[in-house]
Amino acid sequence: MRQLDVKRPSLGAVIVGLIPFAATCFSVRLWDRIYPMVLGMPFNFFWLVLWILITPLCMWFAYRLERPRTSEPPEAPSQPKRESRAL
Amino acid sequence: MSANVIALGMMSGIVAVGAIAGFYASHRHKMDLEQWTVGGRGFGLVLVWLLMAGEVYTTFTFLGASGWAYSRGGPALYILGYQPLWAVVSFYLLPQIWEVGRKYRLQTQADFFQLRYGSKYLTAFVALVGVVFLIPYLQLQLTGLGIIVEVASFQSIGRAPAMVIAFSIVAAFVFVSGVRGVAWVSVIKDVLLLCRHLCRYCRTLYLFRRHRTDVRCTRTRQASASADARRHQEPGPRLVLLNGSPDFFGFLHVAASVCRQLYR
Repeated sequence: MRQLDVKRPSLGAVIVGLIPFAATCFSVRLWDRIYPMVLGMPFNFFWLVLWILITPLCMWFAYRLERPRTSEPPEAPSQPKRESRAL
Repeated sequence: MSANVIALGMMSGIVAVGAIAGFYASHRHKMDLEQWTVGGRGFGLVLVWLLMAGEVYTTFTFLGASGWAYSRGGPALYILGYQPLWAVVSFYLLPQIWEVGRKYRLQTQADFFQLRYGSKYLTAFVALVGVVFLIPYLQLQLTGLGIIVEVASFQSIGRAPAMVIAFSIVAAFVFVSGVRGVAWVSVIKDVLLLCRHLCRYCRTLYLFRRHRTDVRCTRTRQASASADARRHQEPGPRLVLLNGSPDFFGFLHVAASVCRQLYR
């Protein structure tokens, strides 16, 4: 098996990415209800639509966290070079 | 001119424009295998974004999702949940795959497995799974396409001829232009989709205003209240308005992922 030298996403960015999962995937019991109706929508419908709007914001934060890491040149001398062909 | 003729004219116009764009996409590009599979790795930000958006919108968007919502009701809400989430997953996976693909000049998914695990049996298996599992998906999309054309042409084009014609055109321009053809057809599709969204929002706003006026009239005329109230129990236009939002905001999620890939 060949180790491919790719940068892992930072922990902060992963945590930001887990927020939409936590809000829409792993907490269904908490928001799956009809009342209160918001803007004429059942609450669960409203909740999902709300997270359609919030997820890009989370992604934007994750992108902001990742960008300084990715903009540096790939062969930066300060970076300890990992063995890329280790088995 | 009957509605039938107008619908047929518009459909053939759109198909013709799409086919021309698909064939023209490879113009001025010397086609080799790399050009065919990954567009010579030279797609810009906007084209990749549109290509990914084009991948998202399938006949499921128009037929499957709405049909599922109509027949099953509540469970269709899962569509609102999973659509943003796949973009979140892509944000962490695709840039890395992109990077590896560019570095080692990979062209298919199977190439990646060859590189990573160095087993030709695994590579062949991945390639086979990719092809075999594409068949039911294609069949599904073509059936959906047939139904849409049949309904939109007021039954004047049958399901089977529509599928044959559409599939021949798609196969031809993909054969000629590869992923470039697909990308440029996605551009046309996205322009049409945005027009559709605009029209639908305008129509919904109009319906919503009329709905509110109706309700106000009803309140003043208490005499016939029961009959009118029954009429207004049908689902309000607000639901229709929100129906359009997931695919619209889908653009934003895809954008984040693509931006990250291109600014590496």
